[in-house]
Amino acid sequence: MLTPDNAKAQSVIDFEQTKITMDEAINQLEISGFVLSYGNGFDQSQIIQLPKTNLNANELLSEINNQTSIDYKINGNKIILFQKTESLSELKITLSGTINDSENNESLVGVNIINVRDQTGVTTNSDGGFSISGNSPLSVNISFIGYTDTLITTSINKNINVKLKAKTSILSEAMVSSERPNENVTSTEIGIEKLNIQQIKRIPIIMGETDILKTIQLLPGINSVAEGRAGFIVRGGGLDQNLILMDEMPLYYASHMRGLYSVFNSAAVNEITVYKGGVPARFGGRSSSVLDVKMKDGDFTNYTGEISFGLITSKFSLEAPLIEDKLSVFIAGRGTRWGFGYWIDQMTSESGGYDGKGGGKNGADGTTFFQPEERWNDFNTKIIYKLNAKNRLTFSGYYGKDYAITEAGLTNWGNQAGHLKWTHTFKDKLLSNTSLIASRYNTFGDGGNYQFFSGIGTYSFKQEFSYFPSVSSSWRFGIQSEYQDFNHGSLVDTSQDDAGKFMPPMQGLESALYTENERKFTDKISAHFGLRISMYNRLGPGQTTVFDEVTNEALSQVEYNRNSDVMATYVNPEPRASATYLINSKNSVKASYNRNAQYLRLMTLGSDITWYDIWMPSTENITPMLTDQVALGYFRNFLENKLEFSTEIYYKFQNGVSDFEDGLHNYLVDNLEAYLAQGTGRSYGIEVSIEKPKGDFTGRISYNLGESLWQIDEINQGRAYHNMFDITHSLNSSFNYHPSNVKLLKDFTFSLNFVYYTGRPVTLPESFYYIGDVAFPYWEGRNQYRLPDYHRMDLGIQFEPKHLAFKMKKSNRSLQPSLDISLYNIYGRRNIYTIDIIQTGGKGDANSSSVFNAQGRSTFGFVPSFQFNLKF
Amino acid sequence: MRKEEALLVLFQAFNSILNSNYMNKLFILIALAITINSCRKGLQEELVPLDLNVNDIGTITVIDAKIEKDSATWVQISYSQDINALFSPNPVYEANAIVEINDGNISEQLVYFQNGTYKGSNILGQVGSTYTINITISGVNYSASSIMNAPATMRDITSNYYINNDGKGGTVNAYSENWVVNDPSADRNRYLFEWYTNGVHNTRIDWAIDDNRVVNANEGLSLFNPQRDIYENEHTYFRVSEIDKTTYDYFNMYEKIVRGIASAGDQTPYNPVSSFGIGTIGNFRAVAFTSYPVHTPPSLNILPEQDQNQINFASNNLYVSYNLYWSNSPNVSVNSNLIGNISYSTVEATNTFIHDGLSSGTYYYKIEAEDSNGIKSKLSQTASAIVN
Repeated sequence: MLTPDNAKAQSVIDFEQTKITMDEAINQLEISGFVLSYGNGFDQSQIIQLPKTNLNANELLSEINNQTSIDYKINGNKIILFQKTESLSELKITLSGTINDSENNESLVGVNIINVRDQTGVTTNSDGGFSISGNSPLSVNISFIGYTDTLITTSINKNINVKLKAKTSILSEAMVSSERPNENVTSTEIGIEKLNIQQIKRIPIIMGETDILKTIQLLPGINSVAEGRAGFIVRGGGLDQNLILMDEMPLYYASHMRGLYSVFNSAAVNEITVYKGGVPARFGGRSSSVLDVKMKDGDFTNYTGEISFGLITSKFSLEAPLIEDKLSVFIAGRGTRWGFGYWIDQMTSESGGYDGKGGGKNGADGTTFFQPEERWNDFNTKIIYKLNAKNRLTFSGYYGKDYAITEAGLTNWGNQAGHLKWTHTFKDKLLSNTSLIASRYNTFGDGGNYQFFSGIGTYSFKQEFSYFPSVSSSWRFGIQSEYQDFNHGSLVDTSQDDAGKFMPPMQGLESALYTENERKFTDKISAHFGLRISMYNRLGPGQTTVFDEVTNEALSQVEYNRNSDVMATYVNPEPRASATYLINSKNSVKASYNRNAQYLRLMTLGSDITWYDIWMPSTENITPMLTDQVALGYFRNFLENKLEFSTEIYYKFQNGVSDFEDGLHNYLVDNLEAYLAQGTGRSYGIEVSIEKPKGDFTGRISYNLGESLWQIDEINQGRAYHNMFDITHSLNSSFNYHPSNVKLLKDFTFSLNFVYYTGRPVTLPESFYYIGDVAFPYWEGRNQYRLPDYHRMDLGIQFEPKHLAFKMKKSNRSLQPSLDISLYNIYGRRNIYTIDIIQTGGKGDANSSSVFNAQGRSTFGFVPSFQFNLKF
Repeated sequence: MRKEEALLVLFQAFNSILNSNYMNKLFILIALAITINSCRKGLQEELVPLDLNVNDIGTITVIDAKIEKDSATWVQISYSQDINALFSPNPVYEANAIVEINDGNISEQLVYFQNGTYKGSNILGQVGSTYTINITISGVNYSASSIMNAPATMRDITSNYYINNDGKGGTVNAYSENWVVNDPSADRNRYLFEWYTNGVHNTRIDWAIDDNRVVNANEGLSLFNPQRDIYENEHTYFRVSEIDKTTYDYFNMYEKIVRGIASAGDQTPYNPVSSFGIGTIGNFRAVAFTSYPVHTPPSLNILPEQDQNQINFASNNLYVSYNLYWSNSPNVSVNSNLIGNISYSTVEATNTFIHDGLSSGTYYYKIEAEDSNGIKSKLSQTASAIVN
């Protein structure tokens, strides 16, 4: 049977004569599209006598084998030539090293290194390092999406630094396969979505950004919680069930400006991975997903950067190799104060700022770009210092701050985080990463005499080892420990001499030991195993309290005064496993099982998720949430891997989900803990995705059908109810078109998103009644109704005129201008994120025939914007 | 035709700005203006009217009942309506219930009055007593009890004059309040405040507070968010009473509804816990109020004339007397010259008082209002005029 790959070997090569040299044979094979790998050990001038002038590659190689001492191995379009004696060798050798981008020397993560002979392989770790063993001569193919393949052959143990060349965009998909074309079918990964920098660049640009959070909300099973609100829903799991990591630093609020922008500056992002299921054991503490965002390493050879001026924000980034190949600094920043909109507001506004009543200064036509005092900025940095070949220090930092006037008055909030990492290679097969990480999220509200504070801070130590004992097995193990402090909100009354604290501060220690093993059993079966043992300690000082179940009032309290006092302890083993059965090169079936323990929760009072929602640890009264997830997936590629199809079904069972009991109006009570009720949850669904990953036209359509229910005795009269993250149908699609062969349009990239999903559940009143002359709504149960369905279409146009690039004479570099135009929500649908019930009838409102009316709040309409960029 | 010109104008903005003719420039400017304007508008929050398509859940019995210190029992019974029901000024009332109050010793059957209300007459509320109310409607019984706690007392009541915005671009004379209730820290206490302006109970400003919501070192609970300011020339009483948790929940919800804070988007909206049990809405409270006056004076407007000043001020029929003080120095006080206690009836006719027989110089005035119980307001702000 002919496979498409074999077909290539059958295609005919023409020679001018029947007597050729080895050199000519190699040349012709390369011209025919084969990638060849060979050592220097043989004579390329030796003559080969061909039986005819036109013969296929198999026939040619067979002639070479017969007439010389050279043997060969062919796999797809890859050919390895080696001395015949070598083929007998059973000598095991190891090839190790690092893989970098050839232009900027940034380390590349997730690069596939495949032993061409047996198709076993490894991927590079987060520092671009790898180690692979095999029989000598070892020949590996290095492939990475967006980069050209590289073949390396060695007969001895070797440590190398490979520089991969980025594919230029003019190459069409037929010429280069950027990764194993059926990677999605063969990998052991299930429930995992990975996008590297080259793929991120193809994501539609909205608001001048390839926004990471909006991007992942286009993936199957992931939805926005609400327009203009931070956070995302993964397979029916709450916002707090997503671990959001920026260079391993946890972030607690991932949006700016009513959710329009994410905290991830696209100029600073290198790679993102979302784990919806099949979460490796090195991650823990959240139930539903991990969003692992790796920030850009600075360039080690050239100064590069970008400046952008936009209507809403402006930004800059700079990569500076302060000491070439030794010390590199990356910095990036964004802010609204540098955008055109801010300056237009300044010019058209009436004098004076915040008017003290929540009203704003208005432009001539009554609107402004920004609500009063609304502004934000953020900064990223990454400093890498290569001490020597075996040691490297990395510092990553993030600072972000938002300002706005909200119900709580003049407010601001933001994340700050830092991460110092030491990477050390002990031997070629053992790598070590040692990390110190700190992250804080603070909120502040100034309501005149009253000031509100809340925050969470985490400080952690991590030690991790990666070990590559053999080709078919790799290990990772580590230990981590995180100290957490929670300020649940305090109110300072500046008119009085004493500050009122509401819920007392809390402290906790979350620790874990973990190990992961990836193993290939046979050519068809491979698996990933993991075990994480996590422990949570609630630490002093503080009180443990026993609450009355009905009144929620404290019955008794025990005081703990010392920092070292342990007030509550939980230990949970968390087994993880996933396996792939490869039916053939086009079909595979994958399965995974996951257990995750979550010790923190974000408590949200309303359907309107806000920046001041409170992070709450596990206490003696609140048990951790345990999630068991099983998933089964089928992966199939069509049309010579041009179309990738996948479907996954999942079932999640959760123990210890929590929601507020009826009747809590605000967080400012000292018995908040008592209002938290716990129960069980279950989510299940099916995801279907079709993707065209390569070519001028790329795109993906995915659909998810799901349900997510909670059952908590104290809520909804004990009946199961749809939790606020339950989305029945969701359809996500995004398309990108770069007409590289159309002369007039080759400088343009067009992109289109369309998103549809069922509205989230809300609680609405069914009746009303009067007390005196005041009408009250009456609610029968919780979350019985839904917000209107959400849908939106965005269009993005990027114009990068290559002919306008300005060459700098001295440095042989160029300035490349570009213009991004984005049309967000192109048909201007006002999607609703929360519903207010307002009383209009009986108050002289002639338009209202009923006492109560429903009013939806919508954050954004049609938002066109543009941004000028200058890259150097 | 140049390449740039072949493309849509929006796409070519960058190129064209660098190199284009006047028409293009104009077009770009217009496109830019439209973009900027649309972007501005798109970023604004918008409210969208929605239909409420909800289930029919039948009607719920609503009972509001109270007994106050030294007063008889009062009960009102009505029924809930569908949320989309057409507006009618009156709820659906129950006129045929049998309503009884018991103080632990004796019972009294209440008499139907009107609008679903029933009134007692013999049993009057006393501090320390436990009261039980029993209601029978069509053979179904509803019952609730409440203990009357001692009245709460205020430790500090101050109000300070300031000029507030009237919301229409103008200003209004107002008083900010700082009211602190005595709050024994040993107990978890809750209080209900009621506000009477010019003799009318502002039910929409009733306000319940839980001392847990504000922790204060010196055992005073500050009432920090009154719903409205006191304006000038207002005869104001407010009343404070200690209440139990059920009543607190009831009024807390009441307050939130009235203030429009309760959003249907809330995950935890709730029907106030009923003292009459599941399937009903209602509250029965035995409450002992303490009343506190906070009267404010009118402001003065002086018109200087030959040898006299014409003094204008607004009147209020709950004040029986206005006391006008004057001085030649700006420090006018109750120890300054008293022009006279001008009666309400005098003021009502003209709202004017003539201060005559004056020699030339600067005259400063302040006024205070006094009600029929002899309770005086604070002094007004100083007004002055120069007599030539």
